[in-house]
Amino acid sequence: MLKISTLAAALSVFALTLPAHAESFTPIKDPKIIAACGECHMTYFPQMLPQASWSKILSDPSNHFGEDATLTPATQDYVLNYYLNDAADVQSTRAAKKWMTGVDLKNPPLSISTAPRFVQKHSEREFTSMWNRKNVKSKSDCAACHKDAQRGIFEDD
Amino acid sequence: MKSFKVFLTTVALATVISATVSAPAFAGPREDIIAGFMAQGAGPADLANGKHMYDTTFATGKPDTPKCTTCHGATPQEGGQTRTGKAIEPMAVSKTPARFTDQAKVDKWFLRNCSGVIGRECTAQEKVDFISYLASQ
Repeated sequence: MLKISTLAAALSVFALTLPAHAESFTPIKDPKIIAACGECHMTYFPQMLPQASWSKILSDPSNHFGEDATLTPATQDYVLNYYLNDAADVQSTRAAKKWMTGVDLKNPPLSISTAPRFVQKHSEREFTSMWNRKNVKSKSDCAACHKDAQRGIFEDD
Repeated sequence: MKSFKVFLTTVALATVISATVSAPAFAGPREDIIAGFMAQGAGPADLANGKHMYDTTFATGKPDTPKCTTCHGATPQEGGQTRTGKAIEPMAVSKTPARFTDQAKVDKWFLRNCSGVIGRECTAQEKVDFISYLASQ
């Protein structure tokens, strides 16, 4: 009996010291999305935000995070639908569930970098200096640190 | 009969001349795009104005993008970077030969960037000046 409890304790310590297993995302291969979004930034994953967030972010591309990202009306609809269809609150993947944790749908995040999951994963003090690294343009520049971000892999943290 | 021959020669000459005049020396997609803007009322290219556009701090568009070189290279021969960290190929045609050869891309980026940097759409003349300047670089 003692042995079992010792083993359990050892196992739980082991589990705590395991590196956090980051979720992965399906890479975006849609050429329309790559053309519409990917010429300026990484094509972010729909599972990172709920529908309410994407609706707000993608409803006025003429004022897109301070830039004019005007699309033709047809392309704008296409992009919006693409993100709504796979949003965090409609997808059932592990990544979608993780990114929904802590989200207040009445006050949805208006950027990926303010989503609870993002904030939680970048909360340690060491990140303060990491954001100021010369190669990190902004918090939207995932690939500055996560080299395989565009492939949906964030395990290099 | 003689007058018919003269007529034929005249027609042939006229055809040759008009073909020569309407086709620029190095016709290609970029020249076609410039010709399209000229058909919208633009005159001959003013390279100095094209350079002025590239170098000027307008600050009349969006606050985060006051000038072309906020994102594009400090000179047309240098690459740039979007505010999200994505690399932008140099604008100089000598460095990036595919520049200004796709009408849809040209229209998309003039629409966005003239509005974002200058705060209005660019005129056909400005587009001719800008493309021609960067084609000369």
